[in-house]
Amino acid sequence: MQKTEIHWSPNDRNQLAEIGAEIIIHTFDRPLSGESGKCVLGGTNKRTTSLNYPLHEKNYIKCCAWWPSQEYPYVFAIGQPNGRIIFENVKDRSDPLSQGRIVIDPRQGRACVALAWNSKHPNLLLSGYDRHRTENCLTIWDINHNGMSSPTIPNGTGLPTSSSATNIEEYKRYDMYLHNQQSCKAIFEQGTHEQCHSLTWFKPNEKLFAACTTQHNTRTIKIYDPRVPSGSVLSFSTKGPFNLCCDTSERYLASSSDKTVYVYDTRSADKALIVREEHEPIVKLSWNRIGSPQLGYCIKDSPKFHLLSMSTNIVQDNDVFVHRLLQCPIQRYRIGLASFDWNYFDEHRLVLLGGKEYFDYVIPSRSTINYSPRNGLLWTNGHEMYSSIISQDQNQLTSKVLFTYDLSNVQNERRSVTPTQSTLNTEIIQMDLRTMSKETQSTIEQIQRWIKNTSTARDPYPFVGVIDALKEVQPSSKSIVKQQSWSSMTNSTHTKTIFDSPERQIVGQLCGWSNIDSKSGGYDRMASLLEQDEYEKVAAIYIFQMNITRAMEVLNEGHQRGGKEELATLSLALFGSIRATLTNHNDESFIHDFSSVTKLFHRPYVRAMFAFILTPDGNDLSYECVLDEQLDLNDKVAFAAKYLNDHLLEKKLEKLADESREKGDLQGILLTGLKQSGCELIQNYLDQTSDIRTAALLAIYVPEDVHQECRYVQEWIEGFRVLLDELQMWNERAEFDIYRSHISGTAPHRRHLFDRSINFNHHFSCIFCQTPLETHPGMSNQTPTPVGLSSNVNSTPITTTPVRPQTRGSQQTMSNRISASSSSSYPQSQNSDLLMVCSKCRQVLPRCSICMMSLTTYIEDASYAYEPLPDKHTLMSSQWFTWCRLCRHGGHAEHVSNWFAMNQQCPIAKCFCRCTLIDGIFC
Amino acid sequence: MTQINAVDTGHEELIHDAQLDYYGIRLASCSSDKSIKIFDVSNNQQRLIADLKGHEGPVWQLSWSHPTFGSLLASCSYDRKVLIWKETTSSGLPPQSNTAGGTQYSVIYEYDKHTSSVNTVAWAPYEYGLMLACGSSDGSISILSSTGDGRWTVKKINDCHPPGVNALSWAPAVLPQSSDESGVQGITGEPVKRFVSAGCDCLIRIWKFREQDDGWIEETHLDQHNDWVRDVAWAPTFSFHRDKIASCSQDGHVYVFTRDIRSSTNWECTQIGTHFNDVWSVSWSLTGDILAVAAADKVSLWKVGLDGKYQCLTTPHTSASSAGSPSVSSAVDSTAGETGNIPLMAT
Repeated sequence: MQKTEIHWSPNDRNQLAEIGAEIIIHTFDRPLSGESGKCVLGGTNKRTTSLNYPLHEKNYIKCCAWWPSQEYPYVFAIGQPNGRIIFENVKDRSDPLSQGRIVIDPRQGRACVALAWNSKHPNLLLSGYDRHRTENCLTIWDINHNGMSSPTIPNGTGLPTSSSATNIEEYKRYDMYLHNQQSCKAIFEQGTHEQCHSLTWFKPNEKLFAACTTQHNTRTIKIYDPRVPSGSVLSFSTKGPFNLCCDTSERYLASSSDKTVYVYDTRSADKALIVREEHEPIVKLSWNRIGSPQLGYCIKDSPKFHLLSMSTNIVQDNDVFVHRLLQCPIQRYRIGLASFDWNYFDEHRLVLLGGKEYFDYVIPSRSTINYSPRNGLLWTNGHEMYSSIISQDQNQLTSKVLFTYDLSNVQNERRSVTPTQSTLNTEIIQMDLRTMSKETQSTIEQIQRWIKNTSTARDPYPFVGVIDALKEVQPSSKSIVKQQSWSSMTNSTHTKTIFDSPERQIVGQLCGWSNIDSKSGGYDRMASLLEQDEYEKVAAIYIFQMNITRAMEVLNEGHQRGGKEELATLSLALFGSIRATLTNHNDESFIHDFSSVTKLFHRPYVRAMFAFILTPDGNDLSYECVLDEQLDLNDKVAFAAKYLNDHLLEKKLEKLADESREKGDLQGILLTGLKQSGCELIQNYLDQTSDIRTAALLAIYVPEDVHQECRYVQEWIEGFRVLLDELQMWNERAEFDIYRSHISGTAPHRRHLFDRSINFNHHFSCIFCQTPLETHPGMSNQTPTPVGLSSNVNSTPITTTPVRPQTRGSQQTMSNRISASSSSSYPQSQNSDLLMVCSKCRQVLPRCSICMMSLTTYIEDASYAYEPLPDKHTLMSSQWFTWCRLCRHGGHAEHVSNWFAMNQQCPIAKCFCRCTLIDGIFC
Repeated sequence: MTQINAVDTGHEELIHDAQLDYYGIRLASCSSDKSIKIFDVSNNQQRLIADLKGHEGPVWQLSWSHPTFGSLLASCSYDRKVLIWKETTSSGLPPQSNTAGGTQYSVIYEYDKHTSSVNTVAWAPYEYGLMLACGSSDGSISILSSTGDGRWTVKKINDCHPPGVNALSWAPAVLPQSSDESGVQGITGEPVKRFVSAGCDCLIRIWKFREQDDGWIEETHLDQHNDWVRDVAWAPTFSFHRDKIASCSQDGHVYVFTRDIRSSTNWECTQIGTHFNDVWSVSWSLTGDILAVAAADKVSLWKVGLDGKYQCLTTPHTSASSAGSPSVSSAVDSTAGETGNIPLMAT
């Protein structure tokens, strides 16, 4: 044998033989195939060489076949160029088998070109020879010819699992025969004057085989049946004589010529079923040995493994072959595949030989993955499909995504609120912040606080940010320069220069510094920090305010509560250094020594404290030693607002704002406000985190005029709403809308990409003449309630976003666009502003398909006809108008939901739309 | 918290794709056995409601349309055809009980102009109307769009990836942002339709629709991969000016390409992890912050941190191998607070 061949063991799923100058048995250390039959991709499995068997007669292997035998798992039949077939027991050299005693000697000196054991009748060996004038080229040898019934190995699934004692005895008998020179007998011979190219068992159970032979330059594939006198049962000519092989379904044959692969269907073999031409010679071609048929081949100098896999039909008549290319691990090394062999036991397992490397390879099954809104991830892998379902999903999702009504001291009970209450108590609608990450949460809380604080003074809600607040003032009033001395050290002459103005004080308040002395404001940063045991921070803030007494108290408290020694040390050191600066403030060297020590502290607040204390006073200090520390932005800003002069302050704040905008640090909103630069900041944050919820919640507070400049703000809101819709959290989405309209005082509107320009401010318009139905928005400054009422009519018939306010319990399929204006439908609104007809074209506006009342009619009690669903959620949404995206019929949500609780089809007669099936919550 | 449940599909051959519709109540799976099966998976159960037979070869991929259009299902197959299925009721009579026989799907459109296996289908964002892209082994991509009256117009882009198209993904419909010198930003016109394709020429190509000549042109291509690109996914985004695409290739690499059109038009490439064996598929979460990668027989999830690096959150295991208790890194906590992410992880 010129080149190395590789063979899987038919007896052990993890063994293979490398057959070249010698036979080497390799054993992979772990089975690639588990109990379940599911293959694990191994790539290069670790292998051990268990046997190394030098052959007696080197280079005299023409072909070989591994004997499928449990008793003798290492016996090979080897065909030689001189026509002799020898048996080698690789495991046991002393075995007489290996002494060359058992041979099948040729009658004529011609090469044995092919050998094949019958997998079902392991006593049958098929051999093929070169042409000889008078001899047959095909022979079946029975190595158990004495009339004994041949034991069959149940080989269907591979291992003869139930290989009984009798079988073993049978093998022993073979053994006996093998040791007897007389043991081998040809039981079938065929093919006089023909040359065999390749052969294969076709239906091993019935002892049928196929072979490709040449006679008079005609290449023919024949299927032989030893039971039939004439021998051949099927014959057809072929152009591909080599690598003949048969598939597992015992229906297809494949063979190759130099560069072409042919696949034949034995039921209609006249014409090749598949002809595939390749650019390079075919190196090897073989069907897999188990499982559904797959034909693998490799071509010269190519690392690619070609695979034709068959897709069977239940009706077995038109199988389809799918060509697939596989890249093997070998491909990384750009080595051509030299050979491969299919495993006998594992369907998709191969050994690939490339260069000197072997790869135990499992053909990867295609696996796909898809995110889906409700079920998380959907993953298919081969024959299996997995969905990862989040248990407690809805709760989890709901609390993750949105708000809660924080009413009547019941913090966690969601939606326990009637609409009346919620509209009357806009103040107490709060965001459910608990599910957010800590930093985001505190930031949003802070922003809310800022808005609250500033909104009393100025126009309703724009939060302008520290920079703008200071800028607005500066032309008119200048900050007053003061000298502040350390509290409790009354007689000291050492002071620090501070700058003061009303605006600067507001800044201090915003940053949470104002409550040191008075607890009037809602925000007590100190207290919240103390709760988190941030004693050093609080102490630092007091130090920055030169309130040494409180700082000491805080540190003592921390020391007592937390028992941290270092806090006590710190307070001593602080006190000492302050005293020292008081007395030695002109002693440069002392300060230098001291500060060089304090710079070694690890904690930024501690370092900043000492740096502040040790900085000599001056008029235009920039305090880099404090402001460049890793302090919270709050503290930096408050500090700067206290100790920097106007010019430096502006520069510093601009710098800080730019930094946080770059980083997308939400804290920076303190500086930028929710103006354009603030929006850019949020966008940067969003780009990094994809945290659309935070962005959308903040967007609520962005003033309307900024919306015009930064249109993407609207996209955050819409993106969030679309996301909620996709998650089927329509109620949350509607709550979000309501909340938003409360904050912004505008009627909510929904996204429509293409009519946005036309209809930007008019969310609802007559379906016939497109006249906006909204009354003047000015009427509804306080509550948006009356505005929407008249607008409970569809604008355009194109519904793009499936907007639905409903909950699970309420009506399901109808999409509700008016939900956006749902705040309008609250009961206290008067029926007197009803619009029954369009004011312009006088067309009657849509009515509820159940009660036939105008959709703008408030329903006092919808339960007259149906039992109301015992679901709290309906309370909120029952007044909303809802409709189906497909048939566009709809009505009052409560009516419709009651209808669909009992029916599947649209309430409109002759409309067969099964509205509820669209999202299936009712199913 | 997370379970991975094996779903019994009843397919006789390899499953090639499984897709949930917009609301996650219909699960469609397709297989080499030429059939498409549709399951009702509402109420945390699964029930086979339809078994669609119409393809004559393995069905490779499926795509559900947006529910605005009544949840059409597009399928593509080795038989060179693309079929569009629509749910129909069998008769005018209302089916009282929604039994397995009650739901029927019929083919409302068949597209057979490809000359080789059609490997991928994807519906465009609903903003563009009913529009479908399909890519074939013949190297071409077809864009089908419905005119609304049951007819479809076809634009075929030839020789997109000459050896074959493996995957397609549409860019989300975001309005383009124009930014002039004064920094005033505005929305200009309609969103530019874009999609990305991946093919056997080892390239990822980005296509965009040019209104003026009413045709698709290649905007750019990305050549980081050095083997077949198997899958590509355009991330959902909430930015006007940032695009993000993930791709995986036979070469075992997974890349995320990002572009910030404010600063440059070049795509920057980040590699995810190191090497994946037989990576097949990538998918973005709804908010575009978590990337799921299916490689060989495992799935891993990747999330970008604030430092711009992708971290592996965890690798869920199948129930069979879950005895080894999948490790959950601490990075999971950081996601817990994020918006809309489906909390997938934890043991």
